[in-house]
Amino acid sequence: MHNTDSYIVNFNIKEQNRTTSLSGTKIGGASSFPFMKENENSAKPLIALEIPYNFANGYPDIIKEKWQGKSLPQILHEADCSNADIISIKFNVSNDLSEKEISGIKDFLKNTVSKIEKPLILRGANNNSIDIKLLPILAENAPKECIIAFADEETYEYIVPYAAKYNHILVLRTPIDINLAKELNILSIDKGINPDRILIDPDMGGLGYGLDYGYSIIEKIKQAAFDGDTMLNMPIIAFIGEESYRAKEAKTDAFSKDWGDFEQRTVMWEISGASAIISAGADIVVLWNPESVKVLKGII
Amino acid sequence: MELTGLQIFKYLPGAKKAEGTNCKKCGCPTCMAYALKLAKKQIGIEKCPHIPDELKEKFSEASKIQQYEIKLSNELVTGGETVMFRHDKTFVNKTVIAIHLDSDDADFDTKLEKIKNYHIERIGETFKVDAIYLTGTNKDLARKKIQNENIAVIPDDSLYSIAKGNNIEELEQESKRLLEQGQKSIILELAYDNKSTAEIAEQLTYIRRAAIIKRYEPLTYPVMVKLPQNMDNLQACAVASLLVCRYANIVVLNDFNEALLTTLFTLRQNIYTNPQKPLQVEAKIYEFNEPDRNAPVLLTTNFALTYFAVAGELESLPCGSYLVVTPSDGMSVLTAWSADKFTADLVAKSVKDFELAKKVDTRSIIIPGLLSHMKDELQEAMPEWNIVTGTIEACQIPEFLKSRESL
Repeated sequence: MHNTDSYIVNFNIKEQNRTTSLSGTKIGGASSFPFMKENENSAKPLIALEIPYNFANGYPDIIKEKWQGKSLPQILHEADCSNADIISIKFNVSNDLSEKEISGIKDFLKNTVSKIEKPLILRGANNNSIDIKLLPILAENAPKECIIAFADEETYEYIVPYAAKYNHILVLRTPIDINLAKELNILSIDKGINPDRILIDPDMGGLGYGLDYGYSIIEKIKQAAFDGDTMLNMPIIAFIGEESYRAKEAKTDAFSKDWGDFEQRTVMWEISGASAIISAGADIVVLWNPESVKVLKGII
Repeated sequence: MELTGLQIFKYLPGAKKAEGTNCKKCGCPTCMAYALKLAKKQIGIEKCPHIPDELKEKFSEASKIQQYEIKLSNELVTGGETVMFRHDKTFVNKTVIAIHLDSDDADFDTKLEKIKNYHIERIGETFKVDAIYLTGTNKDLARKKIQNENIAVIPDDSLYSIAKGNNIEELEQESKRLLEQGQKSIILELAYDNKSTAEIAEQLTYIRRAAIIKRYEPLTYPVMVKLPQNMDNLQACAVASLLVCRYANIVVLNDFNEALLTTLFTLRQNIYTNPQKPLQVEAKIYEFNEPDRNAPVLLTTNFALTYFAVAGELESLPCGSYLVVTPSDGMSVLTAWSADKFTADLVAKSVKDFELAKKVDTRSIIIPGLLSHMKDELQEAMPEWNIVTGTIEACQIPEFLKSRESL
């Protein structure tokens, strides 16, 4: 053995990331970038598989085909049996939430979601006017403690009190900006959420469409957190599946032969983006394609 | 780390009011002026007779190379990185993507042909295979067949030596040995073997830190990693993506797969953009699918991501369309608006300068949904055009245009 001190540089950290726990699954706790031994107290990056409440609403054919011919309870059961760490359900309702729709959602939570054994993310419709009504309903009727996604600058006042009251973890989304992320954390803590129950969502773009911005914001947030900023040391979640499937490369076959086989490219597009942001430090990545989940679980 | 002018000044007689203060022997009027020039490397350290040894040492430390640039062919260099994180500056030389070919392979020629023919364009960059990692007993003949400046052949003894190792310690030893032999151009090849992804990422991170932070010479060379043979293409995608982000300078793939290459090149394009400078496209009128004079006209800013999101949708339409792109310093729609780079006057001027009225018979312009509040203002500045508020998301454009058609 010889002396390695002349070239081994260890990371100088002042503060470990916050750790939170969701039905016994550890999230966060990073003390360096992933895969490093100096990061040994960290949870591994977690892979979530997202299933929509309504496939007809905005999902690409390639994802729909994966689950074709199966009912939503069947699909969720299969997802629950997959090797995903977390199941995410996106409540992509598009109307103004009638009483009938609300009671349908409540039944679904009570009778179907309650059977899922894995930890859960319950996610709104990405529409502020729906989400300020929907997320409190999800928080109140969730069968167990969940991750509720997401509140932003305009909705946090309505959503934070419900997440706090029912002891859920809350995702706070800000548009790829470290200062805005910090500000929303502080505002939400003032509104009553425990800082240990926050996940930061940097609202990043998918591969080829601005992934780099989100990638660097994640690295910057991690650096600030390791350096001791206690308003930025929450675990980071990224909904990379949704962003990947916005890209025409991932959802359409309208390319020349050199762009590659569509079936393969559509999975790779999601895998590559996820792999990149895991290396940047994302603690949870939420994916759409069960095949990507399988591959990423295999390499982490 | 680089020394600043003030840090240098502290060591000079001028700062200590010592003998030799502002002696002008260096040719500068004051010690401070000299320090500032020295920091910018506009003058040599030998010009000052009063420099203490401590500063000389610091200076030679700071001027050591962090990672050498190594030529892989006349056209291609690798290495030369200076930061650990892209947001600190910008990464310098894009990860080289190479494919392994065995010169004894019966299908060598067919495989080579495919590799040579692959090329696509994305956001102004041509994606093509950078290099071939050649093995087997028939290398000389194979090399002749490749004979293409645009595709480098690895290894190339005339350009560099390869230090192989199973981990950072072995690489260090091997590289030291080559340095002692007088080799100056080295590529470090880290063997993958049965390592986990985590182990590979960790080794690569330590090597890059030794180079960038410690400037430890045996490790200040580009690093190459060849993926294991037994990985399928999806696994290769996951691992190679990680390697592009986490410090491999050269990634060697085992198979030629177009989808994999397209994906990796796109990731590389993202990671190697300059984070301080938004990508922008030329401000002008773009045409999609040979539009006729009645085709719809849309308008947005010249931020590359905005442009490509919109262009992608317009390209996929069955009909033609025009897109007016305004000169907005590469800012996205809302940023440009708040920074006064998207004003009614500027839009009106662009439409006039681009002579849109001569190109089309339609008199409607569709503006981004995010700028709906500017509609009246724009209408006033361009009374001869009918301003229509479009969609917030690019992906809603096809449906929006369809619904307008049926009006």
